[in-house]
Amino acid sequence: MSKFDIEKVERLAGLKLKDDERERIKRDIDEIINYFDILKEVDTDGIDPLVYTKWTRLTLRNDEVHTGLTLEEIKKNRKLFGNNFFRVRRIIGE
Amino acid sequence: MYKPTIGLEIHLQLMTESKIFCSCSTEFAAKPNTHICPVCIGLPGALPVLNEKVIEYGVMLGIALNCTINEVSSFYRKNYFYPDLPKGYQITQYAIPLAKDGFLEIVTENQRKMIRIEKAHIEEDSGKSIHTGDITESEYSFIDFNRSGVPLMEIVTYPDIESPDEAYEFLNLLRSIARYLGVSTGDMEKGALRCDVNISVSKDEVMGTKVEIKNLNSFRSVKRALEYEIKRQTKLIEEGRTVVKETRHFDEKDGTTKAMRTKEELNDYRYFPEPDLPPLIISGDFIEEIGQRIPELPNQKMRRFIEDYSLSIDYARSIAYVPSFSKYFESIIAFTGKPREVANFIMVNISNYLNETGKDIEEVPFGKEEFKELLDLIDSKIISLNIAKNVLDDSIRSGKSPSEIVREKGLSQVTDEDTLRSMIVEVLKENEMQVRQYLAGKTKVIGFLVGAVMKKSGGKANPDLVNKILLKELETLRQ
Ligand SMILES: [Zn+2]
Repeated sequence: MSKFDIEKVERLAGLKLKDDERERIKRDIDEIINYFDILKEVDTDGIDPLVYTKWTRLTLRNDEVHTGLTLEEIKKNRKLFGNNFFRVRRIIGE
Repeated sequence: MYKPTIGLEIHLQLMTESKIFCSCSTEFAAKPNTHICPVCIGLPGALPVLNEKVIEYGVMLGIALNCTINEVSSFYRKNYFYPDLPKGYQITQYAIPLAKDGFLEIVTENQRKMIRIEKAHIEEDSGKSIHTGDITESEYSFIDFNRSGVPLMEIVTYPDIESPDEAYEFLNLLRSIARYLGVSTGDMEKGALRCDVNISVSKDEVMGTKVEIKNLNSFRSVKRALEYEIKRQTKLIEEGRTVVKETRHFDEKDGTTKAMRTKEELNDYRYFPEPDLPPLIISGDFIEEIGQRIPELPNQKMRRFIEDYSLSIDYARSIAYVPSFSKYFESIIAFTGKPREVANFIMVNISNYLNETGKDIEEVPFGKEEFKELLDLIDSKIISLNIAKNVLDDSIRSGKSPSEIVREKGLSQVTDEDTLRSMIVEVLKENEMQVRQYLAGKTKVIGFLVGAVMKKSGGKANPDLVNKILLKELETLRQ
């Protein structure tokens, strides 16, 4: 029994997997989840979650405007660009 | 009686020059994709660097909303796929927002009410996608990333709002506060303020099903959408049907809300901490320093105008909520006194002038000196209040001083008793019926007769004198 819904993961990741890929990835993710089950055995009561491993100070910048990419630079790297817009495959619905 | 329960989710653009995580300009309505860089279009390897102004504005707004500022807060990635979100995630705050547990006190119809604020956090805006033509016509959508990375503050209220009017007033006050602080223009037309609402209706203590409404483009739309939604949900329940938990779209044209096609399941944003940004640490000293820079806010101003100057709630609010109006008003009354009279002139005559000309109040060529002159003319009984309004209208438009206008147009009040008496005698002759009625005890017709005299004098008669002489003349007729 899988602990997750592989089809949901596919949808969320925006992927379409082939059948054999799906089986392989399902196995991998199951293994990862099982490993977390082992981690869960540790008693963490009264311990704050560790989000950052090193507390570097956040670097800030002044609110100053600098020029970014020029249209030429954009066009060089993006074929689907015209009339100042990036073109993407038509988005249907919301 | 069904009671609505309403919560608001507001996005305010913080008016910085550059974006939240890169140095691109936030200029509105610029040519598409002229303010973009590797950071805000999500090129691999580009790293976000936080704009310090965003923190300053965020903290300022948080304090003004009576929130607790978290000295340590953190950034998260909110993951979803949409072409106008170039990184595939939005950098936002999640577990610990910049500000939490605040409130705003609003006043509607003489009632004061506390609306609690759950949290206020900073985040980046997405780009804008444009779909032209219909599906068969065009195989492309078009993306403009100029807005991608524009700083926003998201403000979430508790569901303490119980009517469309309260929702409107909350937004009105919030926008005004943002303007006083100078952190946001709150212009909905320019995308500087967006609002989504949550609403349910219920007959008893059991909460109804919550519906979310999007695409609200003006304060009026918020009110209309809520009014419609209250009716719709009430009707469903009365018919024994169920309200579906969903997101609806407000249709500006017909004033209705329509269900949006959404896959609920997709709302799984898989938030996780942003590894490229360490936690945001704000010192108590910084919070203190920002707090001291907060000016008197519109709700405090409004209360002061009502309590100290006896202005009506409507006038007090209209003046207090617009920084330029209150600045004008206060600079004048500091010189002239008479706040009630000045408020009246501003809200009627000057407002009309502004509507007519499209000018801002700073441009009104009628300052404290002119106001003083006008009020003195009324005080010394040279002109009546009614004439004064005409003089003001004339003066703003012609640039002439109030006394000049009174002199040139001969507007001085007639205070000469003989002149007034002869006018009164004429009026009494012309209105024999009313005179008989008066003598028969129907004293109310005195108002009509005073009016007739005022009209004959072209509004220039001194009303007190007219009253006095008129009564005397009527009494002589009795003998
Ligand atoms: Zn950028």
